[in-house]
Amino acid sequence: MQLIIENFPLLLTGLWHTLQLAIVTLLGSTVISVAFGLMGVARSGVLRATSMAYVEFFRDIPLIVNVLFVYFGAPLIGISLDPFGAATISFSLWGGANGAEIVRSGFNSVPLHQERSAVALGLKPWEVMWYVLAPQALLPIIPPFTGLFSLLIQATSLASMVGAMEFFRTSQIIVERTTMMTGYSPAFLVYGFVLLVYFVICASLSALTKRLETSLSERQSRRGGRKAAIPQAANESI
Amino acid sequence: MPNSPATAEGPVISVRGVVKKYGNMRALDGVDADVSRGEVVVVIGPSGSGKSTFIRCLNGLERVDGGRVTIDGMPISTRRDWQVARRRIGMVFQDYSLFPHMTVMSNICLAPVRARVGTRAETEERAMEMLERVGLAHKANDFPAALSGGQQQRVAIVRALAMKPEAILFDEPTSALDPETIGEVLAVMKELAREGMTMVVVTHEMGFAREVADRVVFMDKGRIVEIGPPEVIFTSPREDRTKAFLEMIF
Ligand SMILES: Nc1ncnc2c1ncn2[C@@H]1O[C@H](COP(=O)(O)OP(=O)(O)OP(=O)(O)O)[C@@H](O)[C@H]1O
Ligand SMILES: [Mg+2]
Repeated sequence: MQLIIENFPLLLTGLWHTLQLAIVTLLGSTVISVAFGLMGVARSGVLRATSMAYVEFFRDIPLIVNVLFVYFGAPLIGISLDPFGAATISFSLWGGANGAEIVRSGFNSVPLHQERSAVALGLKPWEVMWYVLAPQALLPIIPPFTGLFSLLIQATSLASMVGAMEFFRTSQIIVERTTMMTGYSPAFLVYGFVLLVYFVICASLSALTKRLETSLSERQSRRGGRKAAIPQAANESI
Repeated sequence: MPNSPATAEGPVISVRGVVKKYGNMRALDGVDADVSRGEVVVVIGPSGSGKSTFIRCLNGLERVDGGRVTIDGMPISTRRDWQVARRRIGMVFQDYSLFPHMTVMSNICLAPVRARVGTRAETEERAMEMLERVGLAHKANDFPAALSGGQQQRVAIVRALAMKPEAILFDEPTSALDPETIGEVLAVMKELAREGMTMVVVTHEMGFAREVADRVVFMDKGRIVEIGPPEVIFTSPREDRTKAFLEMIF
């Protein structure tokens, strides 16, 4: 415990970097997921094929290979990336591919007749998407997306592989430094603490989305609905 | 309830030489038909004869592979043409297809409010009136899951009507219903017909066809075999295939 308090500033910096990594990664992944997920259900065969190629390519590469590839590969095409940039880009590409697949299957789970009857009402394509399909796709999308998010948060520790000073890397440094100075390795203690922190982050994330999910599904199955036109009869039914 | 005609003369919907292929199979093989204003056309025929395909071509849910479809004298071809035309040609499906995440009221008001058929307040007021007439005013704020099949189908009809369409297409609107609720849906459709709504109805309800249809269309193998008034089709059809079909179902 002493050790963790002593090194608190360093750990805090690490944690801060991890949070930054995570936030940028989650945002990037979400944007890519939605874009490629929607392309995956597009009318145009070219868009669908593009989305599928992207998804298959990045899902099939282990994340760690992906990180190393982006970090060491980018300079070859004339882009130099710092560890933070390389990590967020490769995480987002990977997260986006997995997320796109989730978004796509979320939309595919909405029965075909829903789209057909929305189209038959003369709604514009974006209106069909926004008012009819997206709200119904959201519910099946949330649980697997939460899983993906915690996976990505945990995966931020891989950024240490290319030298990003994130939480995991700083704790590694603490372990190494202490071992060198005292001859005794605090690995169990420090990594135990690291584990606890990742657990708290991911558990609160899934608790949060669980609540979102419940409130969403409650709203969708609630019998009352919007009390608009007819106050007197609203409570009479079922 | 139907709009005043944009063009007093001429059919609301007209199809000429329409062909629809699925792979090599011709689901529609050169279909010609006109639907006049205020007319009720009932389409009958064996399973797989192309009835659904035909009716879906009338509002562009199927893209035709040949021939053309004209609405109010205007040829409709592009996606955008169809999207606008569909506001004038309502459709009611076998599986009602209400939007499960919206209340009955929101289901009805979504499209007319988006298309600015009226303001939200006007539309809700009109929706309430129509719901009252089909006996479902007390369900306005319920979600579809709380309604029986027959009730959902009546809401689907109101939803189509809320667009103030010139015609409504029905594809087997009672086939998915429990026998005891079929009557309530047919009653609503009969009343619509009486009020002069232009309707095209695919149905196996021969009683309805006899009573309400101005003309009956018999389809087989992607073609219209025979068109005529119900008295003629049901009692003295010209074609052998029509005879055979009617003998089979009666
Ligand atoms: N999406 C599709 N893909 C391939 N073939 C199809 C498709 N839709 C319909 N068909 C075929 O086209 C033909 C006509 O089908 P359609 O659904 O129009 O018949 P129907 O008269 O409505 O039959 P039913 O009374 O069973 O509803 C059938 O042979 C059917 O198998
Ligand atoms: Mg059919």
